[in-house]
Amino acid sequence: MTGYKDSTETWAKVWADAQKQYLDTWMQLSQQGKNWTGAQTPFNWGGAGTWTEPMQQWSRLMTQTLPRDSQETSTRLFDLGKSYLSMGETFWRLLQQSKDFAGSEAHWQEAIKNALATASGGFDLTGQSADPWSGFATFWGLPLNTWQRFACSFSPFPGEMEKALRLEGATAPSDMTKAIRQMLSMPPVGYTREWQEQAQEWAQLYLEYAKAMQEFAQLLGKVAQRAAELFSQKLAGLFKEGKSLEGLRAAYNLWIDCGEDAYAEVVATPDFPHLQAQMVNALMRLKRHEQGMMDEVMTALNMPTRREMDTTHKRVHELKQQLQTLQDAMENIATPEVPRDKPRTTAAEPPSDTVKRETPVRKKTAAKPASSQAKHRVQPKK
Amino acid sequence: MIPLPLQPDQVLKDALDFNRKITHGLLTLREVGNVEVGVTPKEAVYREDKLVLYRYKPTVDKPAKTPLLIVYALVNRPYMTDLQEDRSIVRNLLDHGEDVYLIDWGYPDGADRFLELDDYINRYIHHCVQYICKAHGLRRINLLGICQGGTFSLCYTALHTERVENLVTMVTPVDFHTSKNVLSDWARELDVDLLVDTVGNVPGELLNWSFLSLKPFRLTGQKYADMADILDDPDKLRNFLRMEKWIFDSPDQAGEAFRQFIKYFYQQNRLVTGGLEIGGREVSLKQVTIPVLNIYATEDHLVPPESSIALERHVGTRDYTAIPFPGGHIGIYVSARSQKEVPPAIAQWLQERSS
Repeated sequence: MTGYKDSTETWAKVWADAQKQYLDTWMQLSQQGKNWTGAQTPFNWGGAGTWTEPMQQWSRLMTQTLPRDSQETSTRLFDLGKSYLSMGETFWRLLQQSKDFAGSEAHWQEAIKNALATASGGFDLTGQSADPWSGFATFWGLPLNTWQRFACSFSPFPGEMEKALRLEGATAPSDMTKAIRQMLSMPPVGYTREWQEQAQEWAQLYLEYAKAMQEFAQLLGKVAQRAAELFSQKLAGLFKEGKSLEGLRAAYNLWIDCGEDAYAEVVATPDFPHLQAQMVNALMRLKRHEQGMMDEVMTALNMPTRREMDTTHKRVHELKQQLQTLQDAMENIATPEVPRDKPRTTAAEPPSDTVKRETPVRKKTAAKPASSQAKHRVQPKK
Repeated sequence: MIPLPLQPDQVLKDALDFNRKITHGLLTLREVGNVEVGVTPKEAVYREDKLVLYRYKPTVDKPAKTPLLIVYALVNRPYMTDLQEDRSIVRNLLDHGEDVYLIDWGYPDGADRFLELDDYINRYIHHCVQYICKAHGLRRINLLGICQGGTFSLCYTALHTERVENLVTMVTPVDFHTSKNVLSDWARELDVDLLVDTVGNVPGELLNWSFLSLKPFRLTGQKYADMADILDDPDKLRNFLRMEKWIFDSPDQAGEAFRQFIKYFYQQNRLVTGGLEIGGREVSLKQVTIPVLNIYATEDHLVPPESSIALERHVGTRDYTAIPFPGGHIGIYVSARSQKEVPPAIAQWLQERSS
């Protein structure tokens, strides 16, 4: 395939043809009664990554050739394409299992839920996973790892800090975390004690952030679990009504509906805004501390610091406000402003609290005396 | 057998078809190129710091004598009002005889971190109004405030009633503590002092994250699945990309103004409960005694209708009109229905009150 590298159109054609050929072969095998056993599915038949690898290569190649406005969009599309394949594989496995299933309705609903749980990494609600976002963010490419990317985007540390650092014990059982905290609380001594103290505080703040993130991610894990419940219920409903889903896209849309419904339920709980704010606030405390540490390093190198810049910007802003006040005053002395005529008012009397009409109604104008209109002055800052 | 209403071969075929669609569609994406936004001819007539005041070229021989100044939100870019030729509130207002000005706030950077609401309302908006008044020999002009820009316009009108002839607000939050106001709920426990002290200007990405988190499954997943269906249609794809550009074109927010807006409005709800001061002067909606047209979207997930409708109970005017628009926060700018209904309604309402 590398021979086609210079022509993206040819590359696209080759890949599309390969997919078609793959599909045709698979259909033939199915018709001949091939049994897909164990971990083998048509999605991974031919070797792991048979589908995703060419797609990733294609995405890397294409993204470079796309206009700037389209690059982010293409990345999202490719991500969705991978999710789509992953979803197809989940359904395919489920359908294969279904052949031998002979349970009650409640049992098969449970089977669907379990299949989705397996696909999503088990809806990890235990807090033991190395990745606090597992089970939700990764489920068919769903989306709330956006926070992680955002959180890392303004860290003074390069890359995905949270993943890279992931302190041992940050997501560990509480007794281990407690031990780490105690260790971090040991009084620093010696020539570098100030710096040690700051580093200890940073680690404490990081643990707090990791904990807050874990708690929020666990709450989101309930969304995936609830979405799976709703999904299996709706499938059962369709079946009872004698209806069917028209292909994978219909299943995908149904999954999205269930996801949004489940998410809305979780968002409506008091826990959601509390845990979300707790996570954001914890990250900000961590960043604030990092900034202080960075400022000390910059000061030692005789480089400008954030603190200095803020002071300067604030002074410039205050000067500008004072200048504006003076300018306004001078303009009023030089050319007195147009006489302040009466404001156009429809408030003939103290406004009533009665409900007003939806249809516009002109009331007679009865302005207040012009003198009652206070003239605005920009107040100098104290 | 599990009664799953799908066939295995259909599942595989659909998954592969979807990826084939993407593969071919990306070639269209390459052909489409970068998209243009803000299509109606305009001229920059006034600048201050990063603000630019534009005047759109009138499309009728005798436009309205009283110009209309559009005050957009600080969040996202004002070209949403003029996204493309057939989706342009600006264009439609011009065609209905309005003389339209628009404030472009620009992209704040570190030097703008200490801009306050006082700067935005009593300096920037006021200077634009003064400029337009002077240019037209008028004492008052009409204001059209959109979303957060509507809240700013209400504050401006309360503080400078003598400068505003008529006020139109669109999808404007007024009561920030109504039920089902998800953004407001999220902001309640946010330590906004710590946030602003830490990040300075608040990154546009943080706001994007908040907005996407309102409907994460649809906005980060399904939307792109739908896009795959239009990948072979360059015109539809351009429309999609324009919207996509707007959604992610989020300026950072000047830190102090953000701090005040979250604290005074989202957390303390001072616009309706009282105690709001901007530039050392009290802002009371009772001071808004000029005619007010309030247009809200019935399916708005960012500014719940109840939040906008509350204006009626608090505003001082007795000439108050409310128009519900059946759609969402975005649809009210760009849907085909809004193009047919919203600008004509605004123009007619203004013309009925032209002095």
